[in-house]
Amino acid sequence: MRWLRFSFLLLVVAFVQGSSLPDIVAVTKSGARPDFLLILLVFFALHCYGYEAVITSFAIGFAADIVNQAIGPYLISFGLFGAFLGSMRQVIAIRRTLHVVGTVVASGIAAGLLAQLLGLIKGQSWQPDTFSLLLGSAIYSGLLAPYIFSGLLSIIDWLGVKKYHFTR
Amino acid sequence: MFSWLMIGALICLFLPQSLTDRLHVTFLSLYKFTPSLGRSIPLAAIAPPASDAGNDDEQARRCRQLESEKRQLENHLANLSAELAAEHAKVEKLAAMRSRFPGLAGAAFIDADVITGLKGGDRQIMINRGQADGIRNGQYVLANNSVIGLVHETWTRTSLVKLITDKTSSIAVEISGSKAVRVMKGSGKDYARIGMVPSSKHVSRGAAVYTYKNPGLLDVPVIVGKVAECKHDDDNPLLWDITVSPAVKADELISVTIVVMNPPKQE
Repeated sequence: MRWLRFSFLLLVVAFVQGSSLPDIVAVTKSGARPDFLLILLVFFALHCYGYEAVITSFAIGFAADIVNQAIGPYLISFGLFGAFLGSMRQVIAIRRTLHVVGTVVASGIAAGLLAQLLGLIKGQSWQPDTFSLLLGSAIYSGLLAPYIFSGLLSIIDWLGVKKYHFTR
Repeated sequence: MFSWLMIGALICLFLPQSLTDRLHVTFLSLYKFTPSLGRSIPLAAIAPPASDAGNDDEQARRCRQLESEKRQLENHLANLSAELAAEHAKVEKLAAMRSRFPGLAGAAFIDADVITGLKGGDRQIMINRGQADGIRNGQYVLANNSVIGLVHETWTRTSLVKLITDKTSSIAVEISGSKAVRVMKGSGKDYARIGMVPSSKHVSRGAAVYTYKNPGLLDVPVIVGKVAECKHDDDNPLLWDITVSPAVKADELISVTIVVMNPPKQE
């Protein structure tokens, strides 16, 4: 992994996530927005080797925390689920588009819920529409994931990611 | 590796918010290059750190209050802009009127809107200017550069204008070409009548009828209407019975101008 390039990519994605662009493409009445950092998390967790998957997961979680204005909740949540996905990948191959969508949706809901719960420690309040927003965001991200994955796959060599080959 | 990172993450989680706010502010500074991309949410990070969870509600309430004030100010600005545009239009209209009546150089023109138009057989209109604006009984009321009537009754903010066609209206006029000054009386319909004009005077159909100058109220002749019909009086064939058609149709009036010949000096 070329960490400088990865950092640059992460900064760009965090910048986009923190900008008004996701609001522009937000859907539903509650304003469900795509979570590009979540898609990035699943992508690197599924395409990196052990310790690289863990580091990238924590790094993406840190970026998500900066965007969401409370350091800690997403750092733990994304780190945990990124590492979990990385280890799961050694058992289950997630290659088909439908599997990718399902993984992103499931990760989005689980990681988002955990982050929200941890956010309570940081004094953040639990809004009535939190779950619907999480669900909407996870589904939206899941639907976008295959397209963004194909874009990320085209720069995977530039990032220096050693491709993981699933072996049984 | 995972354990160390997780310990670090837990430490970050329990760090006071005030210590981590700088990171957010640094991140937000990226948006200063593209302000249009920034979201409103990050503004909360710049606010003073919350001492406890209860302050979130306070901040949310304050945020709602500020948004409400912003909307109020935006609406106020929109109202002021509309008012300014209307005032500009009035100034242009009055400036044009001054240039058309150079004899009324010292007079003031008060622009007024018609509140209620003609009702039934009455040839009277209500306008939205009154005593507070310097309107007094007997002042001349113009519309489309012609006299349409006189102020009949005034209140603080409104006035009643009796049109020249009102049955009780009488106004001194002069028919162009005849040099005859006579009283024009309203008919209660869409025209007025001039009587007592000797048939020896030449009056042609279509001749303009002007107000006779009335010092202190209107110092220059202003058109009132045109002669629509001129025939011998049934009772006295030696006199003309003249029908005058007003220069402005009363039912088309939207705004009028009142002439104040001696306006009070502004301090």
